[in-house]
Parts: sequence; structure tokens; C-alpha cells
Amino acid sequence: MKQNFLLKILAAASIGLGAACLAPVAAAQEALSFEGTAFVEKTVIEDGAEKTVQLPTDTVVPGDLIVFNTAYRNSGAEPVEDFVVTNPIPAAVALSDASAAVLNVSVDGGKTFGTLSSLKVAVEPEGDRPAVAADVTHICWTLDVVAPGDSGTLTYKAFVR
Amino acid sequence: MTYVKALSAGVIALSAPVLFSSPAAAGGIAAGTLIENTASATYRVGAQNLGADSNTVVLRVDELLDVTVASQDSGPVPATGPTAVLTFSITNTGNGPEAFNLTVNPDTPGNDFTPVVDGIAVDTNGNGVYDPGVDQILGASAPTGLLDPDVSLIVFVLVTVPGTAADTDTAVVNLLAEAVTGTGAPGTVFAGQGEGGGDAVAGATGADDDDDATVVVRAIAVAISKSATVVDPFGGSQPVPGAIITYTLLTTVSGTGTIEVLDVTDAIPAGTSYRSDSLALDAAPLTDAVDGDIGSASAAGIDVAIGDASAGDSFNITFDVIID
Repeated sequence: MKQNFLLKILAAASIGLGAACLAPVAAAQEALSFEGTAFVEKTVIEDGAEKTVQLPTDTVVPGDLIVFNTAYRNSGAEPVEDFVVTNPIPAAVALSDASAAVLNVSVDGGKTFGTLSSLKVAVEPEGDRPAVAADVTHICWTLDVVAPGDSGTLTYKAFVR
Repeated sequence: MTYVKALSAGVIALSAPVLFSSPAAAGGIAAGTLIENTASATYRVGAQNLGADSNTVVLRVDELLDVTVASQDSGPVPATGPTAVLTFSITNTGNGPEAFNLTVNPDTPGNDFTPVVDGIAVDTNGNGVYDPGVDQILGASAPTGLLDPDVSLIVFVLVTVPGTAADTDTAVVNLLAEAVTGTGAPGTVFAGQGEGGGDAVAGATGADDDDDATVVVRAIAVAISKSATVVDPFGGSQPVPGAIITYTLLTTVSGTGTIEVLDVTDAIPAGTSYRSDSLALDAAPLTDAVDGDIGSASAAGIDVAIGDASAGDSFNITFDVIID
């Protein structure tokens, strides 16, 4: 039940809260654990069928698809509210189209957030052009509440440039 | 292994926007680059506003070994005399500096003859043309120098056509470039041998590539030998103003077979003027005008359209200029 409740929050809170993504950080707090991991996603052929696997790695090569996960858990006794997670995209990677299509993103260094299709990139002297996944500089997730004991994983996928 | 970088508490999440200041080259982000990912959170517990950073996940970009080889010749290269120069480009399409071993295979199936490989030269002066004595010859089985990512090197494969080859015979010569670090199926890992201390990994090309160039035997060749005699106004041979220089263009066709559309042209040297009605082919005068005969001349130069010529033919073209 709790898991379902959480998923519902994720879906509801995924867009439209751009302003909240700009909130300043105060201080670290132990009740919330926050752990990043990375995997490389590969397509392998097993028993003649193509299969997508995610392998732990600490090295990549250009063209690899990296899965960045940030796992969170509210291990405190009180609910965590207005949970806003901002993730700058490392310059050496480009957000995948699939991730860009479903995430709340910024293409201007985190100043403004929105759906990718709503964003534009200024090009001199031609004027603005629609933003593409490779333009994304930041991702932002917003969750209204993380109940005590609840956990989840925030994920994005990006290609090594 | 995951690297963990200590981050001080209270880092302002959005204080350092990530800009794409160093866009990736075609070969990809440079080997040895560290990709660091950190998420930052803000949240509220009761009335308290709090924040946290995740650990930083660090991934190192390994060296991708890739290369492309491309013939730069627009078509079959005629062997003039017994030799020919075949031009190739070698491009490091990987993401780290790499040297490449070069192998020439002149014995391609279907060849009419097997050229002798005299050597491989590097276009040292970067002009795209083989300059004997200037462009450095690679030692036997010596690799190229280190090529940076996305950098191309022009090399010349120097071949000699054996005497047994006949006119119009062709031979395909193959040049193979292999990363010095190693080659293998895409994904093959060379542990610890990458730029920046990481691994090197064979890329989509398998860290090797090759291309073909074709040599065609042209048994017929044209040579022009130019000579001059001077007659001065005083009966001597001093090149003084008013002296007449008679130029002789001895055009010889050697080898076997025939050539078409042989056209000999020459410019009037600066400081001299063409002497009217002096153009002649094999001592027979040609008019200056562009008309029925094959010759024409003007203040700019002379033109004799010989047309078809056979091996063994020779043509003696003469004209006079007056020193200004």
C-alpha cells in the first residue's frame, strides 16, 4: 500500500512545480538518507534474444548509456514534506530522449524548469530553437511528502558524449 | 568501485550551473575525464527547512580505440615511369591520443600484378603531396606518431610497378591501420592501457580500419624538353634588349600505345614579347590566329593542339620572343 501511495505522489508531482526547484538548501539532516549509484545499460543477447541489463560500473566509454539512480529513504519519525531534488547533469553526458521526455528539466543552468517541449534555447543570431535532450543542464524532482519509512529511487539515463 | 567525494554540508545546490563549455568532439569525451553526479535535496520536516546532498558518483571515461582509413585518390593512380604514390588519410576517431601500426598489402586477390612497396611516408609538411626528401619515411614496421582525437594524418604509400606489368594493368593496394594499444572485437578491454590510467576499449571499428587504392599502369608517357637559343642584334648571343630567343619544345611520346588530345601550351616569359608569325611545328609554320591549323599564338602564350599521338612520336615546337 505504501509503495502505491508513493508512486501516486511521484506521478502527480513530476511537473509544474518549477519554482519549488529553486528553493535554497539549509542544512543536512540525518533522518533522510540519500544515496547515488550508477550503472551502465547494455543490450546483451541471451539464448538468442536481446535483453537489456544494467551493470554496476565505475568506467564508461563514449556512447555508453549510464543509469544514474538516487535512492532516498525517510528513516525519521516525521514526514518529509516539499521534497525537492535537483540534479545537475554532468557536462560529459547528454540526457537520453526517453528521460528528457518524462522529467522536469532545465536547459539554462537551473534557472527555469519545465517539460522539454516547453523550453527553448537561444541561438545567436538565428533566434530561439526548441530545446533537445542534449541541451538539458539540470533535472528536478518534486514530491509533496515522503512518509516515515517510505523510500524510492529517482532515476535518469544519459549517454556519454 | 564507487568513488565517494566528501561534500561539505550546506552546499547551495544551484550555485554552479553546469554549462557545456567543452562540447564533445566526434570521437567522444576525452579519455580520463571524470563524470561526477551529485543530487541535492531540499525538504521540510515540521517547520524546519533542511537540505542534503547525495554522495557523488564518479565514473571515469575510458579510452575508446577507433580509427578510420580513407584513400584520398580520386581514382586509379597512374604509375608514371615505374612508380606511383598512393595517398591515404588516417584519422583517430577514438577519444584519446593513440599511435597506429600501418600495414600495406599489395597482393590483393584479382590484381594483374603485385606492386613492390617501397615504403610509407608521412606528409611531414602537411601539403598533401609527397615531397621526396622532405616527407619522412616511416621505418620498417614503425607506427605513426601519437595522433590526438579527431586528428588526421596523411600518409603516402610508395610503390613500384614491376617490369612485367602491361599497359592498363591494375593492382589494388590495401592500407591497414591498427591501434598500437591493441585491436579486437568492439568492447575488447585492454586493462590499464588507456589514457589517464584507465582501460582502453576497442570501439566500433575494432581499433583498426583499412582502405584500398588502385594503381594503373600507363605504358605511354609524354615528356617535354625545353631549350633556348639567343641571337642578339649584334650577331652575338647575349640576352640583351632586342635579342631574339628561340624556344624549342621537344615533345616526345614514349612507351607503348596511343594517347588522345595531346595539347602543348607554353606562356610567354615576363620581360619578353612574342615575335609574330614565329610559331612552327617541325619547322612548318603555324599561323598565330585561332583558325584551321593546329597552332595559335598571342602575347600571352602559344598553343599547339597535336591531337592523337603514338608512342615513339616526337614533336618539335619552336617560337621566338624578343627581349623587351
